[in-house]
Amino acid sequence: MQPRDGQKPFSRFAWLGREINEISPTFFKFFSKLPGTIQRSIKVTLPFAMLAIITVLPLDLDSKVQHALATFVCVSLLWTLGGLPLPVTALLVPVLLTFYGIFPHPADALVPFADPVVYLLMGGLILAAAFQKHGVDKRLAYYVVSRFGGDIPKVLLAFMLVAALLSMWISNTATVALLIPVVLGVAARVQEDKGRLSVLFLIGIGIGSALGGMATVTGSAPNAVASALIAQRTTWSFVDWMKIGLPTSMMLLATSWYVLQRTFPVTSRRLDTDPIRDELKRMGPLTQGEKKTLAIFLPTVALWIGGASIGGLFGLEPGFMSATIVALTAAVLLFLSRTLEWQDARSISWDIFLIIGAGLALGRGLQVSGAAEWMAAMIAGATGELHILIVMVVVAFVSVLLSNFMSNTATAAILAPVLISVADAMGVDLKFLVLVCGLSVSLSFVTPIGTPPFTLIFSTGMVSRKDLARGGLMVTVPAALIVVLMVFLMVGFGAV
Amino acid sequence: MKVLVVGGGKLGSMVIRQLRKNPRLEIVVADPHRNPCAVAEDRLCDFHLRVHVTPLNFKEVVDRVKPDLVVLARTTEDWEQSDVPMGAQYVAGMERELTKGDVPVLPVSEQVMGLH
Repeated sequence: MQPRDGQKPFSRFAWLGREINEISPTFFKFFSKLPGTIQRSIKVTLPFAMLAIITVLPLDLDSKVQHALATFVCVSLLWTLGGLPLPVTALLVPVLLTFYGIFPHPADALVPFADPVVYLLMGGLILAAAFQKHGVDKRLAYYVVSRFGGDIPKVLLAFMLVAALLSMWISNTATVALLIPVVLGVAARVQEDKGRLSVLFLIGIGIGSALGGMATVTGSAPNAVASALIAQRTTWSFVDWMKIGLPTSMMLLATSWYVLQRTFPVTSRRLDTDPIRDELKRMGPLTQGEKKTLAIFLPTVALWIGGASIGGLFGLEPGFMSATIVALTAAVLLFLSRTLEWQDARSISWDIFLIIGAGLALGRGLQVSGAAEWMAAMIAGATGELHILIVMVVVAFVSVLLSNFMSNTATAAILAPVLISVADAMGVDLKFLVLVCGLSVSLSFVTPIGTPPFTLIFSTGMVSRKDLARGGLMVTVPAALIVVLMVFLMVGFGAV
Repeated sequence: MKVLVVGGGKLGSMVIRQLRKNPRLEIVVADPHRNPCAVAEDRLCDFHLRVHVTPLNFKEVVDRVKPDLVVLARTTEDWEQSDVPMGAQYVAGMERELTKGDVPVLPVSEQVMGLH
């Protein structure tokens, strides 16, 4: 069987150019035809040229505002164009902020890199490494799918649900990497329609993992960025995020399950799930490693949710029961109990912590210098007397659009600090805009370059760009509106 | 004896060179590239099947080639997944899925072959 749509599943960098070429204006068509070395030079030179131009431009602005704006534009362009690896651009943020004197002391520029949310995410990723090492994730996947029977809509729901459940606690990419072989193995059991069925299931797990990642702070790095920025201004906890993230995620899951079935109809009705049952049987009872992982993971989740009350009962320091310290305690216990070796933790994408730290530092720099206030005044002036709901819709679609072409975390890191000041200028609760942005950036499933999970799905060769765009668009539009509605209602009624 | 080598990149070529020590073996390479290493540089295989082998089409490929043995010889680099987080785990999962059929399948480690 040849890859569909004439795509070359292994020439990712070749089609990346074509992808942009097909959907972008003439400038990008021209840009993509330039030799690779010239493209790379432009991607690096342009951001620094803009940095220099904005720095020396005779603007009627306070010098700190102007310099912070120059830094913001340069870093945003580097993250958007990918002129430098994302973590390298992240390292540039404290360098520029200190160079311009926005933070007179280096420590001020580096403190955000040690924000509690960075360590919360670190603890979550170490827990996820234990899940993967001992196959807890695989057992859960097999268990849920085998329980849902062979009816195809139910199997789709099972795959999406498993993807969502796993990606609440482990990375979306890891979830998709685990489920793709399982999905293709199951779809291969159908005689007719197996190509269409695999498209349906693959896009289903991709979307399921993205939606599940919205549910918890540890589920996805943009959540951590948004959460940390909110926590700098108001009381905000792990549970507060779940109050909005979990119901939104489940509502979106149900909607996308319905939409996907209509977008990719299949003629087969039933599927043989016996191989999954056989596999589950072959796995036997829980292994020692699985038991130890669950014995640490389950109390951790319980403490993340009810830590404050439980700690109060035992007279423990409130700080000790914070989500971050609980996550770090769990991480230490995993190593103490030999459930994990340090070698296992090496597979964690450590660069994500630099990007989160840089996003928070950039946000702090924009606020301290007054640049965020200036940008917010410009945006608020342009939006005029628009209803907050309309502004939220605009924020949602801008976030979705950007995150389909650049890193979700970087998108949240760029937009969220500005949105906080926009909310201040409009005189509304900052959560209206920051939560919409933080949740909407996860809806990046229209292009294969949006997020690594969709890169993996595309690389199977079973899903064409057209399939991704069609499925992604059909789900994204209602999903973005649901996010806006949920945030509007939950924040508006004071539920979060 | 017919051997199907899945992957015609660097690792695939090394595997085929070993198999070639036995001239009685008939070797078929499955690789989606127009001119993979094993074909372009070494012309090591008897037949090149231009196909991207996944769990979804594996049975069809096996029915078509009818090999006595399948050797999985693809690296993370062959999959162009070496710079994607979890790319290695994804590739390992895909290859593991191929070992579940009725035909004997041997995955070859790139570490053992000295590619890592």
